[in-house]
Amino acid sequence: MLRLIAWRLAAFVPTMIAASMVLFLAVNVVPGSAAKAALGIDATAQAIARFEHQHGLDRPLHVQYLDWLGRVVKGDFGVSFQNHVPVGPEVLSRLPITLELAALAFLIANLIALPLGAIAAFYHQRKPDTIITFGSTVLGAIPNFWLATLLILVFTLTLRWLPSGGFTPLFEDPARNLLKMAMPAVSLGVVSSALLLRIMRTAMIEVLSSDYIRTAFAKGATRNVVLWRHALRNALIPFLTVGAVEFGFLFGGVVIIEDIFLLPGIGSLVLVGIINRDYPVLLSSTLVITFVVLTANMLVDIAASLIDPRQVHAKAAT
Amino acid sequence: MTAALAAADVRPHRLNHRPATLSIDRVSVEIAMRRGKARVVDDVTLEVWPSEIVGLIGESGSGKTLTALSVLGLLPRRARIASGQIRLNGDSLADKSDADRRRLRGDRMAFIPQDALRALNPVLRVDRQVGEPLKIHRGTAWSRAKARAVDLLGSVHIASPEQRAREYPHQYSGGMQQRAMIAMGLALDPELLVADEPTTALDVTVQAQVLRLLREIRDTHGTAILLITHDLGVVATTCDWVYVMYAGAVLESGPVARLFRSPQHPYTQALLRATPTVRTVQAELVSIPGQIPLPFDLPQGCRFADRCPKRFARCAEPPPLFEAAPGHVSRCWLAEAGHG
Repeated sequence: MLRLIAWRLAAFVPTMIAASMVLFLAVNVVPGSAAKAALGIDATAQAIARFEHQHGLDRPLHVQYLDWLGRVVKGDFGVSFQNHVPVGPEVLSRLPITLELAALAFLIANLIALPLGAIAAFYHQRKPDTIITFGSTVLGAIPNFWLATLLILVFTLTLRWLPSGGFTPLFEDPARNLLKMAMPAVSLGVVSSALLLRIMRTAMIEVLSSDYIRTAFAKGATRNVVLWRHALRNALIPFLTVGAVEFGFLFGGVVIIEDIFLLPGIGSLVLVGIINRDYPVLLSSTLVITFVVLTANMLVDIAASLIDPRQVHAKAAT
Repeated sequence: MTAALAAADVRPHRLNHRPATLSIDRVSVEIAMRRGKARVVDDVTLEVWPSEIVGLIGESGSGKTLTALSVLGLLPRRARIASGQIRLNGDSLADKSDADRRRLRGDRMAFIPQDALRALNPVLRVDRQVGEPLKIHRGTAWSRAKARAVDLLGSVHIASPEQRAREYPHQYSGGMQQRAMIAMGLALDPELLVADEPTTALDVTVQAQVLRLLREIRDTHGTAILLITHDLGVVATTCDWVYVMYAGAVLESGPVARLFRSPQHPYTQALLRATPTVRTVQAELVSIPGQIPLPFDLPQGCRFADRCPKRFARCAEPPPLFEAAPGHVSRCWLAEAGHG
């Protein structure tokens, strides 16, 4: 078990480095010039050259990359091209907002996906399965920004129950914080639940055909005992490993949802970085998101193996 | 033959006019398939009495496992009981609601499957699984159910049950896994145990221990045990009564000692010849030519006719059961006159 955790941790560093390379390349390959964005459309060629030299953008790409990586490792995320503010503190102050949004959305997605996926699997190819699978396909096809707009229309403009946006720190006023987080989290979570539901259903169908499920029925267990005591933990093992990927997809939605609901998180910072071609801002914010997603994946992987006593006791058995 | 075996020739219980613990009365099971319904169990009648181990023997595909599963209401979704009655102590199971049938499972009748490792939940500790019937049917608190599980594991001869109870199934040996399944089955002292090839996956020595345990349960608890097997050796050492199944139907049944001494049906005779014993040399072992017919194209008459060395004109008609001796019946026209 300890070896497994050590292995996951060891794999984390090269994965993170590879991801940083991809990010750096992607940001630089995208058309558009940081200098033009910073200096304005009328900037002279000399001004542009001076800007690029000043920020080291005229150096070969690999030199720029290594320079950047070296400074990031030391905790220096650079200074914004636009307003010359250090990027690091800015990203860190926005991180909790995005983490809270993603965690709430993922929680909502799982609260929908786990029970409904399990019930669909239990009634495999019967009416409840058909209804749930159809419903989840429809939900999965809805773009989250469209759902977000619809929610604002209903709960803010028509019912006037919820504020349309903004942010209150969690520890300042938890109730107000949740009120403002509700719609963003729901619009992200509901759409994410569709894929998770299908993963859960598939995992459950597999588990429910096992001999030990027949044993549970032979003991006289009811549907709920079979599903939640006997099947769920077994189904969670494959579910978590695949489901962790969906946590990554969720951050794609975070960018647009934060913008719609005026949440000052990292997602909206990514958007600012893209629009302004502000490389330090864009690179830092995407790198932090990558770090969060990879960490979450690693933790989920470890959690999945902790659920399975065959893996926990793997060393004792041999 | 020993006196004990001779005494089993006639079931003494029948004279008491008690209902059998398990009575399968002319039961047919059908499976819905693309080509239509396949009748995989056809008109099977079978009884198991208290303190009795009844063997149900047949090749794979003979319908013996489906017969067992139909008793417990655990048939796969495509299969259903098309006709006939199953009674537990005289009460028809078909008359009961789903909820009432569920209450019987694990309480008054229990199931012991073939592959114990796969039948145990890999993520739950053994004590939880063995004690669970008490939780389900009696509402016992987990702490007490687990304590009872330790006793049960001890009663099926698992050494140091206190420690072993806290382990997971994969930490057990094959024989211990099967014992744990038996302990689980015994949790509420059921009247009926249905064991589906409980020893097939085990080593020969472990197999003997598990079979000894089943006999012990029969003798100390008075449990009625239906033992599904494809192994005549298991029948010979363990069972009191035996039903021979072939292509969905019972071809011969009777007290084990008598049936082994004078098998009536040519299929039983062929099975016995195909089984190695101390006295037979390898060269004398005879395999049965041909294959078991599929449930779609069963012969019109006797099901075994195609492969039978003693086939004659009459075999084109389906034979009824003929009684060769008290309790010993054979579904073969050769037995019509009372001798084979």
